[in-house]
Amino acid sequence: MTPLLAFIVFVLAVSLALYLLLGGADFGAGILEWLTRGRDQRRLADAIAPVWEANHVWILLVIVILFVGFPSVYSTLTHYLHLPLLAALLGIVFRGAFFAFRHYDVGVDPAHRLYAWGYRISSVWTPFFLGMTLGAAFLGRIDPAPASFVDGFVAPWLNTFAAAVGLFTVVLCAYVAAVFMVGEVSAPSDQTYYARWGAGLLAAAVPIGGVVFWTAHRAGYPLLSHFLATPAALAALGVATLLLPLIALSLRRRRVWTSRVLVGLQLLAILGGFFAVEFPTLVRLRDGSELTLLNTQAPPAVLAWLAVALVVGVVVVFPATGYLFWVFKQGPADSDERAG
Amino acid sequence: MEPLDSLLAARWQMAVSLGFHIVFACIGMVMPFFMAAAHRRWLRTGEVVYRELARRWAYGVAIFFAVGAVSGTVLSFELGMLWPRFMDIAGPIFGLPFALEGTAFFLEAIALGLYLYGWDRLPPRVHWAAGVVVGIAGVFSGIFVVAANAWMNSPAGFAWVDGQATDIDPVAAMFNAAWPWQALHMTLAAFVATGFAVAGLHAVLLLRRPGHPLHRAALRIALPFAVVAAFLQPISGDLSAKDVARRQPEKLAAMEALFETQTRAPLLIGGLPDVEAREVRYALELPGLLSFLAFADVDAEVQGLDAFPRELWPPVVVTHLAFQVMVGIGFFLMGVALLYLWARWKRPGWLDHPRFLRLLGLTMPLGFVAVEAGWIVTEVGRQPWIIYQILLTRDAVTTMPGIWVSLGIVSLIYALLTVFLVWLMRRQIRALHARPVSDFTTPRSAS
Repeated sequence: MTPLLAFIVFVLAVSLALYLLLGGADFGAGILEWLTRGRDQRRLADAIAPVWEANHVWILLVIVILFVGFPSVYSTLTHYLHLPLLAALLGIVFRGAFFAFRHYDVGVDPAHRLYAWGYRISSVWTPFFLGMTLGAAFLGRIDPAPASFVDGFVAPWLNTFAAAVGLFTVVLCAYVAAVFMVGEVSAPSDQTYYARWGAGLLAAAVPIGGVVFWTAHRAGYPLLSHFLATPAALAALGVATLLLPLIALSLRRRRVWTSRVLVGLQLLAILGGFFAVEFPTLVRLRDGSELTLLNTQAPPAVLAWLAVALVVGVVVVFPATGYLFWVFKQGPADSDERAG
Repeated sequence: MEPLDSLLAARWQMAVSLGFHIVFACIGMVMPFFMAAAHRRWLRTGEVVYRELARRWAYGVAIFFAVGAVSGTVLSFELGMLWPRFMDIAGPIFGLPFALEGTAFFLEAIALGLYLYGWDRLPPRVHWAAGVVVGIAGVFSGIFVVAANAWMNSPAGFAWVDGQATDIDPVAAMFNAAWPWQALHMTLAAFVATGFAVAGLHAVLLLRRPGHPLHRAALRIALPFAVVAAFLQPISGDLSAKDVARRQPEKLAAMEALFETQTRAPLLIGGLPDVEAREVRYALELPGLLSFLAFADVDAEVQGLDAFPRELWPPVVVTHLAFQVMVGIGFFLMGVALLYLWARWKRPGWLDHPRFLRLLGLTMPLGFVAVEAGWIVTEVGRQPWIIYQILLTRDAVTTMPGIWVSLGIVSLIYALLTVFLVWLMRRQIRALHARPVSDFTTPRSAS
């Protein structure tokens, strides 16, 4: 792997990780609103309102890096996983629209119930289908010469493994959001409330993670044995597991930043472990062939200019994002009056 | 049996998605300038009406930006979902402007977050500057996206060998021949369309609430933008047409429904082309003017459709009619701009006259109709190619059957969203009108 390719893969990985953390917290706020039956609708929305647009740009970055740098990965996924992606896109449209409507529409009346439900349902729906797409990319049922519509466009993703990955993604999103919310409320009773949700969702994530491994095994995708055979992945899995009691303890003590950092590390370990197992594969096909970072990479001139654009992006975007978070995320969301 | 074959359904889905997105993209890149202009007046004069206006408009920007962002995200996936073969080839070549667009868009999102929520948190100048950055980043992001579309019209930056792109040079691809003209034309179009849409809306509201200070202030800010852009737009259109005449002669021939190659080619105004008979009915012909406009010489030869194989003709009727609509509206809006300037100079009273306000009301949708028509000219006029003279649209389309279903779903959702947005705006206006007018006139201490 050339340094150039390594740099692009690094940015791709960072974008994906940030999307999981920031976009995930964002989706999670909607899921949590559902789980808590709208208890803190206002605060949940206020916590994400100033940053939510920026949180979703990461997925665009992932997409652009894929179609510029690894074009056949992008075209294979969008072609054969058309249906789950379409579902995710509908979720993205509804979620964005209803969030904006709810936030900027006047008054409080029945329309807001519709916005709230549209927003909550799409907050679950969208990460579910995105997770499903991710699972389907690696499962190995994408058939480049399909015999039928079902073989080509349904079977690759409509299976228990992809569904388990979708569910796992949804739970992780809600978990990140709950931990994040601990720092967004100031009353100790509220903090305890979200800390409990965080711990509960974490407790749910562990068996669902197990289901992911089990459904993979049943589908003939030996994910667990691959984890065990890859030292880096095994180490990551170990870290994620060791963090479980630490996070539970930190949540119990309502340590806002410790919890956030540990949860961030845990998610990075899960994602990193998975990609360590699969590296350099991005898509597995039914005929056993694989689309990898190496065999799909665009020519060096393309990668070089992509790298230039990414560096420009990093130079512009990182300080600006930092400023945004510095302005709005210095204290709990409910500690001050938000302009609106 | 499918009611629509995949190619047609995919083209329609792309048209619906782009046609929807473009409205929000335009508003999202132009309204921030209006908002910042109003904000600046407030900072300078302390007139509270301008602060209220900046806030109202900021709400509009937030909603339109959000819908623009999600519909843009849809497009970034749809390109691959509908045209996988196209993206396989084009992705690495025209991806550079997309990557840069990502940065501009990111900056726009951040600046918008700062602006919307920064009223009490940022120093006034920084806050105002955030609003300006929203607009500038928006314009940049539009210009970058247009670079990618321009590349489809004037592919550059690669060698085409045995159905494979080699020697890719992303910079040469980005700086393709059509980019400057298309980017200029699109940016001005966004200002014309948004300017008249905003001015038209407030003019209609002014008819309902005569003398309402907020709507008067809105007209004072939006109209000058629209007027300046409306004057510049025909010039940029002429530059674009000259560029198309050089690079895509069959597109120009379809725009003008010029079936025969000829010197002293006439410019047609209106008219319904009959492709079978190779003639145009009911058109007003201005002899030699097309030759002059395309090549600055009334005797220049202009290639007609007969110079090209029949199977490579763009759909003539649609391209020609869309072009007529775009140009017709463009000149009409320039006329309105002229009237505005003359009235401002000689008859200031006219500007408050209900007739002038009604005229502005009429322009509210027209700019966007012209934008849509212009995109039809660009896209339909490039057919049957998806990448001009490289890849046919029908060779790029997905092999997945049943695209008509997703076309139906996407159309339904965008139609629903449109209804919702109109209803939402009406609610905003009703809430605004429920407030006493004195809210917008009495000076209050700045909060």
